[in-house]
Amino acid sequence: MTGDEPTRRPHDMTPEEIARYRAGVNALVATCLEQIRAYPIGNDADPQRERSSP
Amino acid sequence: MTEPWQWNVTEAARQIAAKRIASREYVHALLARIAHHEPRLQAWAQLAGDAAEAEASNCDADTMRGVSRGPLHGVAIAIKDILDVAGMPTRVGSDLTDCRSATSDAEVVRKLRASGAIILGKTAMTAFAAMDPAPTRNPWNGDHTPGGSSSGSAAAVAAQMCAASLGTQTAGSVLRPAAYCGIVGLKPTYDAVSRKGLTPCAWSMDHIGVMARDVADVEFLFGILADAATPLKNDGNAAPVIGIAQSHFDATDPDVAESFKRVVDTLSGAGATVVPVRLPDGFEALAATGIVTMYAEMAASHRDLFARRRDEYPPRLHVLVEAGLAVSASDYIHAQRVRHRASQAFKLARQCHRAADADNGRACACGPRQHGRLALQYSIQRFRPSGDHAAMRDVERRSADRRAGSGGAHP
Repeated sequence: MTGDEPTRRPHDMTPEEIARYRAGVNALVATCLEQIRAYPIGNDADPQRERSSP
Repeated sequence: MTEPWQWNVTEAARQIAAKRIASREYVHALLARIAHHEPRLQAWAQLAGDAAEAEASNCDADTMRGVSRGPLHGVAIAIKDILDVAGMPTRVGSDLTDCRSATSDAEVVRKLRASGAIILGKTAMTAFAAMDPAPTRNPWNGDHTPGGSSSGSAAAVAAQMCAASLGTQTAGSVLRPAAYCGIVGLKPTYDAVSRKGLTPCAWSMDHIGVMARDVADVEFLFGILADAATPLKNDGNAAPVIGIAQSHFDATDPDVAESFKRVVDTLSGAGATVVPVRLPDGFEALAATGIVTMYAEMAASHRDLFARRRDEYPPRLHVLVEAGLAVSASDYIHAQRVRHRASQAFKLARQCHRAADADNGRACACGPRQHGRLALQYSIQRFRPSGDHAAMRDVERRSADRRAGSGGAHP
């Protein structure tokens, strides 16, 4: 290691594994969106509460 | 007589300041340690050995003149390769990034140097701080992951290649590898530490954290890095009150649960008050906003590069960017509204519980999986396994099984 070599890693998944991974991620996002949409958000829109950063 | 590489940050600073060891000698000892363990651990993306030794010599010259550069005078620190270090490229764990060297230091690196620290090199990480694993091995067992995304930062400290490092955390990327490698990690409050010079992963969730082998070092370094006075200690000498969200441990591995119980018993025996806390309604929604926000912001960061070089993307990041690009603007905005409301509810619940010192004592609910199985810990930590998630873990397990085979490297 000379210090200037980029770190390399194998692309280590088969196409079938990637397809299953994608299905899992998409299911996870769908579950999350469902939970978010079910959250009682109310009708108020105070700008101080609508900022996007925490 | 301990070896220099065994010293924590404060001890190294003390030894150098007392002229019991030259900074160059200290740095040389660390580089020798790295040369011995790096072939197995692969904790480093780029070493700055020559520059570090030269800078150490300059520190020693200052020492001889009676000049101290600051509280970290002559002490070597490692930097995750997502933060800019002048004169070195910021590769972010990927070959897709610019090979040109950064022209200036990230703000945290500038502060470390201003305090006398020497930058030893840049540590390996998962590609773009996402889910594709780094080549790094866990120093305690080479068959297991060190955790990510700050994989090299944690492994280097655990293997005593350096006394401390900087990592970054968007979801769990400081606390998880720190836990897996048996060191101390601190993920500060958002905005407590400047993110200038940090390549964003998900900008509204990114934090720069500290990793070291003991709490005193972490507190010491955080005091140097924090933008404003943000005391880590509670006021006065009152015993800390530690809240435990027991319901969050239902899916914990038995050995981790047992270890956690021992920690709680130790803290309780030392005088801490341990109280059960109930996570507020909406906590799961808050966790869900984290995933949607992270994927969407990650996709926004990658949009241009992904459009040009998507075929070269590592597989997990490829999937995550596509998922993030599919999140609509209205869903992202709605997620932020929920996020803020759920965060407020969570803060209120914390105040009610008066669990001022720890809102959740857990870094992660599972021990370090075999190498390559870190990709889904984020979801596993937060959601009960469903059929889909179990299938994802199975993919990770089989993928890891194929790669397993490197020997252990006990630090």
